[in-house]
Amino acid sequence: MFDTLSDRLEGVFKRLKGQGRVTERNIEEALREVRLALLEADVNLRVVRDFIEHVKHKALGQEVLASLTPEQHFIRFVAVELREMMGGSARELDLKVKPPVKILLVGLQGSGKTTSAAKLARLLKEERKRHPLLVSTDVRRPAAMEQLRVLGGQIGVPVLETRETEDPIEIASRALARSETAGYDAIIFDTAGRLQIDEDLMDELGRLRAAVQPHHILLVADAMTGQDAVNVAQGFHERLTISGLILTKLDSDARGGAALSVRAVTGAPILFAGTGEKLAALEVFHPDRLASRILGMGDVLSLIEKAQQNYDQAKAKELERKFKKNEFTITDFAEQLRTLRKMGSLGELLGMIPGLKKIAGQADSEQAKRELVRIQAIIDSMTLQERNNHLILNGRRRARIATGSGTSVQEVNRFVKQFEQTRKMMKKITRGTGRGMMRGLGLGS
Amino acid sequence: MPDFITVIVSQLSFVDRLALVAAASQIVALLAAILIEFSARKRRWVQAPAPATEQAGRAARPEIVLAEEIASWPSPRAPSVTPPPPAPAEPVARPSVEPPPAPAEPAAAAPAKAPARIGLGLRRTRENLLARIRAAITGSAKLDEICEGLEEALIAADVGVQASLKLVEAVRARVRDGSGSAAIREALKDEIARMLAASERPLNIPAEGPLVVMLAGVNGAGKTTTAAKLAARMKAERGPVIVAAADTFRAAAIEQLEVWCGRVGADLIKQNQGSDPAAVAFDAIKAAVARNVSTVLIDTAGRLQTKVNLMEELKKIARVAGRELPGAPHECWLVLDATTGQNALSQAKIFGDAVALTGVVLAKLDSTAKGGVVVAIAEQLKLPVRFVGVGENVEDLRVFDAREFVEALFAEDESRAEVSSGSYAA
Ligand SMILES: Nc1nc2c(ncn2[C@@H]2O[C@H](COP(=O)(O)OP(=O)(O)OP(=O)(O)O)[C@@H](O)[C@H]2O)c(=O)[nH]1
Ligand SMILES: Nc1nc2c(ncn2[C@@H]2O[C@H](COP(=O)(O)OP(=O)(O)OP(=O)(O)O)[C@@H](O)[C@H]2O)c(=O)[nH]1
Ligand SMILES: [Mg+2]
Ligand SMILES: [Mg+2]
Repeated sequence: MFDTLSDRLEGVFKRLKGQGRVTERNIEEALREVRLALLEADVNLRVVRDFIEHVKHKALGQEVLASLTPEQHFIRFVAVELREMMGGSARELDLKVKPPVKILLVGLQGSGKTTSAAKLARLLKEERKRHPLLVSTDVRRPAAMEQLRVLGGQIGVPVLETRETEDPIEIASRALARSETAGYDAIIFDTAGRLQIDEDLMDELGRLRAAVQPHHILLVADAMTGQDAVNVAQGFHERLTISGLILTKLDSDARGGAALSVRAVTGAPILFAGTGEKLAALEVFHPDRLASRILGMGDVLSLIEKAQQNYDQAKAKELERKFKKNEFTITDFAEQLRTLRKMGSLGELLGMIPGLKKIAGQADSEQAKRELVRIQAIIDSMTLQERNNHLILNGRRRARIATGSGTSVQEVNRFVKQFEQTRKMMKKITRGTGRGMMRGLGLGS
Repeated sequence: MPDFITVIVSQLSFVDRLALVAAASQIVALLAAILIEFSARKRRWVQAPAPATEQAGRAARPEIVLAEEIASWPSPRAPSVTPPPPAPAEPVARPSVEPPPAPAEPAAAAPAKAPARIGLGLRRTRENLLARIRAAITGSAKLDEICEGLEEALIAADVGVQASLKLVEAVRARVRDGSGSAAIREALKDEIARMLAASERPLNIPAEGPLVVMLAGVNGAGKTTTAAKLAARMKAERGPVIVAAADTFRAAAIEQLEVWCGRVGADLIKQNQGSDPAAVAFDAIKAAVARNVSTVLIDTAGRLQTKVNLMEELKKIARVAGRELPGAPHECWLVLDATTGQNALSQAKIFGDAVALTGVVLAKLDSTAKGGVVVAIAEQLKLPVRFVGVGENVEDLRVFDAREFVEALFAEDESRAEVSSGSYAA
């Protein structure tokens, strides 16, 4: 595709260096790059226009250009504005209402309503200790009710038994009555997918709302949506007053600019992000992360969070020292492999780093996975002594390891060679992270 | 990009497709390095928020400018040069514990008055004073304005920035300066229609044996519904149809297809949920050959193009089909949701890398979206659009018509131009 915004802005600011404060004229070119990045990310044209106007006013007069890396400053400035526009910080779904809390999910066909209904039910049950009831009012899509039934079964959440021949409003009333008698404290209503311009079906939603009196009406929107997101959001919002959003399929490589569009139109907070087909794949939405993603900065924040959970300071320091002193052993390597695997697949982790999306997918290929399994087997067949000092690995030992791990001597040789290369590389890199070297590479700030 | 990561990335970028496997252990180590860096970095923000003094005490550390520091920035209102005041003690990545801020006014909804039409400003030339003067002298300023309007119309239809600029530039080079807006618009329509037509190609219908069509695409695009619509159509045009329920993953996917096949009167070949989709395709083709059925439609599970395992699964389905019946699948179509934005290009590319795509089906074109991204797909990948879906019923499938599509791309263009000078959130 295109270079990162960061790269492009760097070029712009290089030309502008030494001009001091941001003026209307010198910011035009930088804003042009931002504009392009936002449009490439599917932010709606009109939303982009308003956003750029807004940023321009705010940036004027600032000493952005005085810093050594003005593009970083500028991107940060833009990212903060984007984050604010998406609601600033993460919001919770408000459950402090008189039970049962009633949630209605609406949206276009195939956006992920049924899946999200089940995900939400799971979240309420597992993390908020609620007793939810799932209800399908979708009498249109073939096997929609069966789909919800199956999903409910997977997470052990009861699903109201319904039939396609029933009226959606009647189903809803029945659900309310049922929760009264059975004591459910949350009801999640799945609805049929519909276009916001479909008068009849939008009417139906209006009646459904009147019957249910939901506490939350959540618009379920696909993160891959393009320019049309504003029309969709506006249509649903005008009719129903959306109270929140669920952005699905964020596990795709879409930039997700639609979120900004939808948010701009409805002003409603984006509450959750769907990040997979599995029912556990629903996360609290973080505006800052999506801001970086829209600007092509990767999802480093998530990675930071993961890092924090898995490395304590002492462990991190020790590892860094070993890298530097070339004392990194196969034992350490095995431990790293274990830790990383706990955090997700290599591809998932790589995908969160800007610039590495490209190879992220390949890191999860069958071939790469098999290689990791092989490496693990080889390590498992080593003695502790061998793991702590790979230099003692002579031919006899290697042959034994190959037999023990079900691999060949060549494969063992390859791993040992790779390990040596890795050590060298890590030594170079960690030494290189001194300020001097960063400067030397022209990377310091 | 944060500088430390830049170094790592430069180390990793040597890793190409083939070398990746060989570099698995390097990647493990590099990732570990990135993570320890991050874990340390984060603590520094929390413990000692004044970066300047902090760094002095840590000469060995690089000065890492993490773009993610934005998360800990106190307020967007603060000028960017002053050092950020102490970060909140709470880990910044978990802001949910803070009291929720007052609902931010959506920036776009704020101005009630119609802002002046400022244009997209995508053309560099317009920012260049000399060019502007020249334009004023030659009278091409008007042309600039018209072209910019057309670019916006294309972008608003999801054609994408690059393709839009390119298309309009091509037309601009051809028209005379005095041409009116209508003439230029027509020229542009011709250009796009020609481009779409250029990627058209006939269906690859085998001389004997069944025609095997495989449908693939991301989750919820409309594959299953399209399979049903196609089954009805193919049945009427070519005779008996077998549909293979090769989505063995999603809940009730098989039941959904079962209902559809019942409605359109097509035979369904299925196995249990969780079984091998390639085996289902294999069974279907075998049955089709045995029963002398003329068409096999393979409905596959939704998959994001970034999920390598699932793409491998798709390859396997195609491979197994080809083994059972040489040449199969004869046609392999990517089902695209018309509301999809620029990601559709990535879908077309990566699905195309996995299996030999021979076309696109653009579903949900009855929505308010224009599906303009197929223009970019046609331009870059020469993939023809075969059919469009225009509703949820069996009969809502049309053969793609480039001219009609292009007219629809520009429909409401005038009213859109008016709207765009006001606030859409009105
Ligand atoms: N990868 C991924 N797939 C998702 C996500 N959410 C939903 N899906 C998939 O998207 C497809 C459509 O999801 P559904 O839940 O059936 O969508 P829906 O909105 O209920 O569809 P209709 O009822 O037909 O309007 C299914 O294949 C889901 O598995 C997500 O966050 N990530
Ligand atoms: N308005 C409209 N809706 C459509 C069209 N095609 C499909 N749909 C609807 O979109 C939703 C998803 O369609 P499916 O056919 O289940 O999509 P899929 O790609 O098979 O989904 P997965 O198998 O979950 O990945 C359903 O509600 C369909 O009725 C269309 O052309 N127009
Ligand atoms: Mg549904
Ligand atoms: Mg399907």
